Amino acid sequence: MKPILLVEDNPDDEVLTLRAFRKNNIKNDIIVARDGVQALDFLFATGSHAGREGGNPQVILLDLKLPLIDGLEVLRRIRADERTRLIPVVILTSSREERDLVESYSLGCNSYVRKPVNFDEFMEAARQLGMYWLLLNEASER
Amino acid sequence: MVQPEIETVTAKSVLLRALPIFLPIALVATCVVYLLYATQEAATRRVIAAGQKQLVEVGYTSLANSLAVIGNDAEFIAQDPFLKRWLESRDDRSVEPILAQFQSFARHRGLYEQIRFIGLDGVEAVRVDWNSGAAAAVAPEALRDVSGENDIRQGLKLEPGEIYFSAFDFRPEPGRPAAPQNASIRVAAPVFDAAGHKRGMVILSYLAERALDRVRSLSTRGLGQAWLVDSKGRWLLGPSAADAAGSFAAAQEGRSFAELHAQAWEQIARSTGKGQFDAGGDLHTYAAVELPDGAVTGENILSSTHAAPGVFLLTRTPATAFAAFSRGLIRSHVAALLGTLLLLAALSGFIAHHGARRSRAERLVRALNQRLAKDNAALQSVNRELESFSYSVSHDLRAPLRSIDGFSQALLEDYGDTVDSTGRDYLLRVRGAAQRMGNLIDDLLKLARVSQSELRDDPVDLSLLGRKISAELRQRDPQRNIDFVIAPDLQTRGDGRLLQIALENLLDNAWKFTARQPAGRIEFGKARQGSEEVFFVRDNGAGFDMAHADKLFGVFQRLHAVTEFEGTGIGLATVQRIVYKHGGRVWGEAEKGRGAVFFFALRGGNDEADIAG
Repeated sequence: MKPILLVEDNPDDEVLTLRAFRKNNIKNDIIVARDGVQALDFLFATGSHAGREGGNPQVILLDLKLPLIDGLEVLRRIRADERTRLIPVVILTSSREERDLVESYSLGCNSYVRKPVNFDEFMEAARQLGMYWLLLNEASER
Repeated sequence: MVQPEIETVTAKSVLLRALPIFLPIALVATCVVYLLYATQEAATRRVIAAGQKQLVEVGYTSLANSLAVIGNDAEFIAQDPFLKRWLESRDDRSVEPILAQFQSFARHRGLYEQIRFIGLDGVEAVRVDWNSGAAAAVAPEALRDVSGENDIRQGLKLEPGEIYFSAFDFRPEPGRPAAPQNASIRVAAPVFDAAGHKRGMVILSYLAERALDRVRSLSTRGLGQAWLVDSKGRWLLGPSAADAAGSFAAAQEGRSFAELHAQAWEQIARSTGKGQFDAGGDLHTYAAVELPDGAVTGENILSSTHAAPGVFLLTRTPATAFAAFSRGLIRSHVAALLGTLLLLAALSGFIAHHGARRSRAERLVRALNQRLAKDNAALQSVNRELESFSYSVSHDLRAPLRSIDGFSQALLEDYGDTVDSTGRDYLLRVRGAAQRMGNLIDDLLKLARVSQSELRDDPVDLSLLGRKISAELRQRDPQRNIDFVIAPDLQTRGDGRLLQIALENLLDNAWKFTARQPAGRIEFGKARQGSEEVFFVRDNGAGFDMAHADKLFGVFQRLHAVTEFEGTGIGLATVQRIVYKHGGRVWGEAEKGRGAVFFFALRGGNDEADIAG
């Protein structure tokens, strides 16, 4: 099964997200990229991930506020490249700013989810994400 | 806002402004007035000159006529048939009819002092004198030999058709006192008998005073004063009586026209006919009184085709007269100019003053506008800073909260069995606190955003908003049994976004405080209070104690314990700020345990609407 790419710079959020997925029996490998550069390196098998095995992830969970290259730019590049254009991208962010939402959808994300403070809700969000993007959604084989 | 420094309108600044307005116009006005003066002066000069010409013309015509008349008279007498007959008979007795004829003639004409017939020997043969109004025949004894007189000599030389005119002079008759009335002109015509032989001459002494009177009468008729001057430049009729009188004999020593006005006389004496010229500023107008055709003068015997003038009729308008007139003209024009300039100065001053005031006002406005633009720009930049601040605050504050809550939960779930109930309780409190802080951040952000934004003025359908919000609330807690009564026609004008937030807060409050009611009822509608229309949100929930109503809208102020009803205490503060921004007011009434109603009116009754936020 294809991995899930989690692009998240906050270590606490990373731990919580991983725990949430575990708790919800999501068995995919979860690759964590801690900034935009790492994310792109993984996707295009360059830099620190040069020569990696395997194809595209099943879904990309993308935070917006990232160091080095920020989330929107990563999204832009994902959508700009033939190889990665069709991968589902879920923006998972704490930003409630209208403009971030609009910009993300304009750039072609598939979903925009706000990280709730309440962990229960967070868990629920993770479960739903897993249900949908991993099980129900028909993604392209590429 | 401090008033910008604009210099006041001083007298000096007004003066500086007025000068460029005043000077060009003043210059033009002066030129115009000068032109008017010059034109008028020239015109008047011309009028005067024309008047003088007319005067001289009239005088000339009159004199010329007189001379022609007396010439004719001389001829008439010379051709008297009685005379001819007497000449034939040479009878002394037949002198009577001639005398009678002469007398009659003299009486009728009234022009002649003497009418005489002189024989070829130069002796008076017939003579009629004019004595104080009567023509008297002179006795033969009184007849004289006048062959020596120049007049007689010239007269006896006359050919047929010629008439002799003597010079105009004051030669008194022998035996008569010299007097001004003695001015005379002698006219003579030759007498021929039937056979054509010259037998003598008739000579008439014309009372030249009459001619002078005619010239004098010109002045009484308002045409002006004209003088007569003889061919030597001596006064015949002059400005003063003495010039014409018996002093004539003294040749007017030093005072004749020729001597007094030598330059002018030179020009006149040279010319014939009429003319007008300026000599040294004095205007001279003259006419040479010509003798009629066939006249021969006493000065020279010329052919009948050329008559030298015997007298000159002239007028002189001295430069001083012009000067006097000019002065008057100048005075009136200068007065007019001064008046105009004064008016212009006043006008310029007035215009300048207003112009200065207006431009000062404009500068003030510009400066104020600049200040305003600057203030606006500063305000906008502050707003932008605040927004980015809010944004980062909300984002950055939330992340740690998430961690607090998340790991507390993780602890509970994964290590719950190692923690006792107290521990679990602590962890729950930690989670609750994190949750509340998250809500607080959200609410504070909303409150801040309300103050920042510019108020829009659109039509807002409050009923629609109410329905939307109530639907969301139901969706949040589907198990709640709540009755929403929303009036259908709640319309107003304002900022839709902000009004939605306010309504959300009010309805959310109502929702919260009716949580314990088995049959909750929330009503949103409008009512009439006095003269105005107000909106209200009424619930039948917990209500509150009116004694503390003044704390209702304070930030973070709560009238209930957080254990009873959740809430950050910011909701109503937000509602109040939004309503105030719309220029309205909001208040609440309640009864503990029976419910509460919050009224709000937009626009009207709020003096603080002008104050931002």
